[in-house]
Amino acid sequence: MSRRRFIGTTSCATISSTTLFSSILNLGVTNSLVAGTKASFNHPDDYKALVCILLSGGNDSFNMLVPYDNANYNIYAKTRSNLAIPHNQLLKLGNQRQDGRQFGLHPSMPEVQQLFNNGKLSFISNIGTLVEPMTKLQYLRKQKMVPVGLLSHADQAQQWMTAIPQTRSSKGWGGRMADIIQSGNSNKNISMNISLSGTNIFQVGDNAIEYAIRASTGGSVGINALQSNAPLDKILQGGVSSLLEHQYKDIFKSTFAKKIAHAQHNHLEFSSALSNVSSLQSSFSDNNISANFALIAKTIAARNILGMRRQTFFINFTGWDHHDMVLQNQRSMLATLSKALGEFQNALEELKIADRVTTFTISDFGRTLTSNGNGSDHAWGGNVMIMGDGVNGGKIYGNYPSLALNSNTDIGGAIMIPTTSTDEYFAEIAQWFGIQDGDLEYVLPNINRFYDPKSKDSPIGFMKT
Amino acid sequence: MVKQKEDIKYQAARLLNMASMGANYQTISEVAQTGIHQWIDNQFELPARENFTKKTWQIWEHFSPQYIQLFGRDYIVNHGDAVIPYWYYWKMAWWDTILKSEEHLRQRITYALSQILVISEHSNLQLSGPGMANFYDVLYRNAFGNFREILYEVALHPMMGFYLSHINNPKSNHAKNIHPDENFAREIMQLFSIGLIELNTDGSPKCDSQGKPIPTYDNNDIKEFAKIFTGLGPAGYYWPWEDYSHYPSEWANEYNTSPATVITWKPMIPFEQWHEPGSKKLLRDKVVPAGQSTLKDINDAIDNLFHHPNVGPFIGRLLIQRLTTSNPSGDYIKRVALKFNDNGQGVRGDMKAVIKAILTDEEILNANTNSKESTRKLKEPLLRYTQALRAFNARNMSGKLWNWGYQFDEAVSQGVLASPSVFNFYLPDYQPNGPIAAADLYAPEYQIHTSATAINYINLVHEWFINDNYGEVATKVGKSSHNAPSYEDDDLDPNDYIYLDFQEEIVIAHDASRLIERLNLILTGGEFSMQTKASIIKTIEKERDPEKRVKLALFLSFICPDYCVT
Repeated sequence: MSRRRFIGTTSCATISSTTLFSSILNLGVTNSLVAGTKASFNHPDDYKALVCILLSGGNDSFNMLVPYDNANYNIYAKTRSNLAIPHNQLLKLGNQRQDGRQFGLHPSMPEVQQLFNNGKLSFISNIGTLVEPMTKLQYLRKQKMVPVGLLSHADQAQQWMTAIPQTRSSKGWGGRMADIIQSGNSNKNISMNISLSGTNIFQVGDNAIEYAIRASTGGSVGINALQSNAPLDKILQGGVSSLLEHQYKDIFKSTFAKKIAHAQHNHLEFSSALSNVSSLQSSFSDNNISANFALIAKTIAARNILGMRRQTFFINFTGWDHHDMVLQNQRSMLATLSKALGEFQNALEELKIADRVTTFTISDFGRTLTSNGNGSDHAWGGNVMIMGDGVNGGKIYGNYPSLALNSNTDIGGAIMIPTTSTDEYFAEIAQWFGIQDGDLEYVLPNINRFYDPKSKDSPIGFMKT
Repeated sequence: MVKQKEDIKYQAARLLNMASMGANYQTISEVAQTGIHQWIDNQFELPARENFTKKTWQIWEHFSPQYIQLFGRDYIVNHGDAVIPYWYYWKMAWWDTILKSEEHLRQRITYALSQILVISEHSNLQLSGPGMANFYDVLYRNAFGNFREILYEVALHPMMGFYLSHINNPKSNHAKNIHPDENFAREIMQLFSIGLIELNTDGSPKCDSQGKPIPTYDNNDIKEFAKIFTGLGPAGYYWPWEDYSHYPSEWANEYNTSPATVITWKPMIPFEQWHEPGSKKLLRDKVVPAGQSTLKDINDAIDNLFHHPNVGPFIGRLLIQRLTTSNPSGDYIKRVALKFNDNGQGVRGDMKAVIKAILTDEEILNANTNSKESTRKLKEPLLRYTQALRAFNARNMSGKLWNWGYQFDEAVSQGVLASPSVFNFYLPDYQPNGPIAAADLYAPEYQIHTSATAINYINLVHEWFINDNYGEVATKVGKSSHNAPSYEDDDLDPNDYIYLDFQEEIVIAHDASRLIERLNLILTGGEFSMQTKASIIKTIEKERDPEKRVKLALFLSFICPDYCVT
């Protein structure tokens, strides 16, 4: 019946949503929530994308964003001891804070300095996973619920993606957003959530799953044998489709086969769309992180061909667990990140879509302010970056804590208790993305503990309204 | 009678799927003849003949003179881009060994352990191939030994020291706000021994009066264990182009900071003056007194963890998932955990008893095509690759089966000692969205079965069987690189090309059903359904040339769900 479609190599853009395998592709439409939610983005220019960068391992972000004025720098230097960055190396950020404090940036991040000073990037300080608002005293007296597996990589990275720190869950808030609004994309085949780094929790919802592409292979990949005219390949094509089309009763087998069929089908459509966009003038550095951003920019450029109004992208940038040699290793990694952010912003400006793409960082946790000799250990609150023309740039949101030991944010061991919750951060991003107030609790089950979705005020205020 | 004999062969093949890196027809027949229990016992008796460290050095010594010859000693010794025994020499040693070794069970268990006690080349560990090989040797030598010894040797291994940063971990310095590094202390508990939650013997969580799972430790416990793992430094120094063997190891020496410059093939040694003094609290109300030596402290801490009741069910379940099924029942875990707790002769942690319990459990031995989904697992991509090569006796003229495996690793996100982090390639509790999650089943391997890797795998299988390209073996150095073997076409030696032996299959290829039945036996132990066989037969009958027909059959067999899910 539909074998020919599966093997078909051309005219991908014309494949309709009723082709083979479409039954497994209609993600999101069975969600009961969808029925009550009118996708609100009908305007032809209404496109929005989120780019989530997981700095996996726990970025030592109190060395990324550093107190600059003398009084606070001296406290920083004393606490961080041999991990402190010399004052004369810091890149000074513009805009003094109202309270007179000044901040500097890690010396390896000149692009981020420029983005900040040009009003295209902001920080949120001392943010972290919280089940409910909690002070140091409440923490020490065990009066409030604490995130499970606090300070552990697997749990904390997971909770930044699930937004449900009281349990171990495998569904992410990016996935739940897709459950709700994916139906607004005219493309019913390719997931709204595109991952540059394979399987991840952020993009998996009750129905939604990620579509994985790779910079190393230039985007999506397809089954070579199906595109070939070699005699043996011509023969095996029939076998491939019958083995993968078969309805396996065993769910381990059906899951295996459907993933392949789904991927092949999406590849035909995706690769055709990307081949139809002209290359960007903006250049990207020759490393995997920049290559990921370049592929995202290209995918965004193909948004209309692909029929996408809402998209999320996910990059897992690994290797931030700097128990050792934090100064040397973090320097090169922050440099890579900074450069890639600058390049991506340039590309988005070239595409004239920088106001519709918001890029944000997440990371397992901040790290201990004190040193373990030549590195730092797992902690809790940290600092994140958010970038785009939709961002109120050049600001530091949240409360940058005192870095003095035993302060009212140091719960012991130079671990900062977060003063802003990830829920507030995510809620503001979700609202900008188009999640309605009534759906916010589905996306962020704990949100009512931190923010009233019906409120006229933004949760934090870092997005332009 | 004949029927019965054949059934035994299928059962033997199923066992070998769980207990080897891939078996050929001959091995399957031998196991069928010997009987499963006896075969496992025989495997236990085989001495550990391999030495991954030694082989890695030999391969490095094959290449290092070539670098000098081609680029000149001065260039090699003084070039900023160092010429050192990188990780790829170890990968070559691993493949060479895996493709030749007849220590089926030991190799499979070693590989399983390498996914539980994890180090990875995706770190600065790639600077020392011999170090990676030596870590693997620890798992290999102890695969049939005792789990306590594994835990102890892993804790003292310098590659683990670099990976989880407890090498050169100093005692506290309160004046400078320096505290002991907590990295290894956390992961040895969370991942290598007891896990996060108190467990019953059947692996279910123990709960408090409010029904909440009880954590096994808290951050204060981690801080105490961090103190235990202070004061370890390298056994000495190494640089390929200068003799450092008489240079004594020193604390805080600048060479200590890289796997490239220290001896990574001997255990770390204690520096008592850098070990945290004072007593330390262990788990379950044990305390180590002040004033003990570094190694005594570590031994006490390892004992403390090893005797925790969680180890049996926690490590037992992880091993079961690597060997037999993603979803062992509580009863299965319990039977394995009880063997861990006591092998029948009062010994705790006896790997042989644990392995035999896992492989011969009734839940597994009675499983077959019609079994319920809870006995299933997705076959790891790397095990599909090793099986493809081993089942058909991969060989080359030079005898150097020094596959690098880089393309494969890149394409499917799996290679030996190459996971993205200490959390391995996948988590034990991973549930892919869809019917598996809906059934509340686990399927770790699906975490690396993505729209990219799933397709890449099929393209690799095509490379193998249709294009006769079974791997990447280079034995020469070329002008293109002064510190790596050359994979440029001009530098490849035809004697190194890997080929497979399909003689037996070609002989019967005219009879398509007979051919498929043979592959069904060798590759899956009889998992192919009627439907799958019919699909493959229908396709391959379009090709009359016997060799090409075999290739088509192999390609289709290796990509079909009946093969990839076991």
